[in-house]
Amino acid sequence: MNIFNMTIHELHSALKGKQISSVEATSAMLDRIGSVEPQVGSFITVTSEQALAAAKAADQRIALGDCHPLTGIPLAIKDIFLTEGIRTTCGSRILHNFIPPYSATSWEKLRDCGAVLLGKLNQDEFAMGSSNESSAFGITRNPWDTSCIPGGSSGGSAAAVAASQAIATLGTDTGGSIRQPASHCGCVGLKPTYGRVSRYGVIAYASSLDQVGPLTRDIADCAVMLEAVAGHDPKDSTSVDTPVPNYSSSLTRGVKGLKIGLPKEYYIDGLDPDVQKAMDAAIETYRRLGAEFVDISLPHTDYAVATYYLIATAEASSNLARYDGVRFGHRAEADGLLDMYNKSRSEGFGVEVKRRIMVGTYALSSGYYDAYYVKAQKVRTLIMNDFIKAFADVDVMLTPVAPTPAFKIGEKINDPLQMYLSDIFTIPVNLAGTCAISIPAGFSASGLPIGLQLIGKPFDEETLLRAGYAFEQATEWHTRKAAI
Amino acid sequence: MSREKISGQLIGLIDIVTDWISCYNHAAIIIFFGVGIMKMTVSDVEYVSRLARLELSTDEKVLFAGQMDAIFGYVEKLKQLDTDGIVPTSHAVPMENSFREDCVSSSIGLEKALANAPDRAGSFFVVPKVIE
Repeated sequence: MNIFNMTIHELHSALKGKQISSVEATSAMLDRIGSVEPQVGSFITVTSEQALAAAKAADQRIALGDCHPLTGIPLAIKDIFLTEGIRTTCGSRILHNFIPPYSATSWEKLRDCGAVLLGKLNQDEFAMGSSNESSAFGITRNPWDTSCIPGGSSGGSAAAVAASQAIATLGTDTGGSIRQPASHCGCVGLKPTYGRVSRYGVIAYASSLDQVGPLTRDIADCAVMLEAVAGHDPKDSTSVDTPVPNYSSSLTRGVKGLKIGLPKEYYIDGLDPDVQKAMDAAIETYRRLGAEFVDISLPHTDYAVATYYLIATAEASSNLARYDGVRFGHRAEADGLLDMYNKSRSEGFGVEVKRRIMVGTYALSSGYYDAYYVKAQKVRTLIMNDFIKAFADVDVMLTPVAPTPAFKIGEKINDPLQMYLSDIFTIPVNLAGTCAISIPAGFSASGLPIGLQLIGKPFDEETLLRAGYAFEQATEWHTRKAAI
Repeated sequence: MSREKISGQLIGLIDIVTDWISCYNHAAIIIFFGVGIMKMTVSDVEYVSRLARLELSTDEKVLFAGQMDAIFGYVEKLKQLDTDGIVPTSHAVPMENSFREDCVSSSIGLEKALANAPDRAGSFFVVPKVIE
């Protein structure tokens, strides 16, 4: 088997057994990145030299008998994570020259396990988008069909896993930005519960919704990655001080007697027939494995997108006020201070970011604050209550991740509202603050991956992984590789 | 109080007053909005872009007027819901204040903090002149 197609656990065994060195594995990954990158465009920055140095250090660590499941494993992370000394752009021209003075906690944790950083992955600018078309550093293409989008905003993180350019990756999810690209690229993508993983050093988009999570080839890898990054961080006051279970050890417990809810609002007429077929087959698989199904309702689902696009844009307009050309990032030639703010921001931000800042500023402005922002926060409460009520009767919920498989590049770029609606099934989870996972569950007639979403109770990632593992053992979808 | 500080406050005040004047012109929109006939105009977009410190091209203004009109038309659906007495959610996980010990810890230091400065002089960030 090619090294670049391995899972974390396969490569870990090979490293531990000294069949492969981390330097060999890292070199193989860098070669692979070089050969497929022109077709995919997953990376903004490839850190070859640092990667080989880190691999060498990992090999020394392994030689001394210190081999964590991530030691020597070549990974890549979204360019939203601050990496000390390595340029971090967040996909934006306004940060084209930004070298962070410190690192994100989630990356530091992976690095401390001995993971090797291959580079920084492409994304929608400031994580605002569902297609990876809004990056200032070029689009990313779907490895399964390069005329299609990979999803977004962690599009580079999903495409890199699907195109075997990294063994696993890290992304962020504010309204579906891990799960939707994972679904479109045929990999596993987990959005943990809000507060499960530190957001320290993650460039903020919408602070009450943003969460860090892994994208991987299979569930076992997902468990390893989550275990490594999860946990309380004194540097993030919203990270929750609750014990992190040993996710890997509970994967094999099966789903017998597991109560799975099917929210009727997610099985709508507009659902793509191939997606519906994949969901039907998944339900049948789980039934065969001994799970019980319960019809449930999340009555405020239809209001989630509107709620999200008020709350997320309002928070974004506030968070992105810091990009003013004063202390870091792009500064425009200008006549006076105010002119410098205006010009630096206008030259630095792309059109989608400007649009969301405008929407958020309007929603927060005098005379509209109560009608839009506070109203949305109240509806958010109703949406959260839907989940609390439904979870009284079920352990997890099973839904599609996206209403359609990956769409064509350019198809929705001029119609922001249609683009926003493609996140209809993922957004409610962020508003409710709970956890959810995307798992490969089939292919469309034209060969594009389709993911299923399992939604769990707050801080119950363990059940998601266990249920995902059972599905994976019973199916072969996750073993298929894009022919790139 | 230093001269710079006073001038800064003055500029802030002028800003607030001009924003307020724009807001007053804006009242017509609020009235329309109240009866559900909202139409985002180029002058609304100009008003919001001033608040957001964005300088938009004429094309962008026209584009955003149409798109924001569609977006705010769509979010109107939230009005269908009765939310009287519902407590707004600002945070997904119920939490008390998160305190730490009040003790000094290390920081990144001056050179690192200034390393990304577009312009600096000694230990300061340099910005264009605020006052003539």
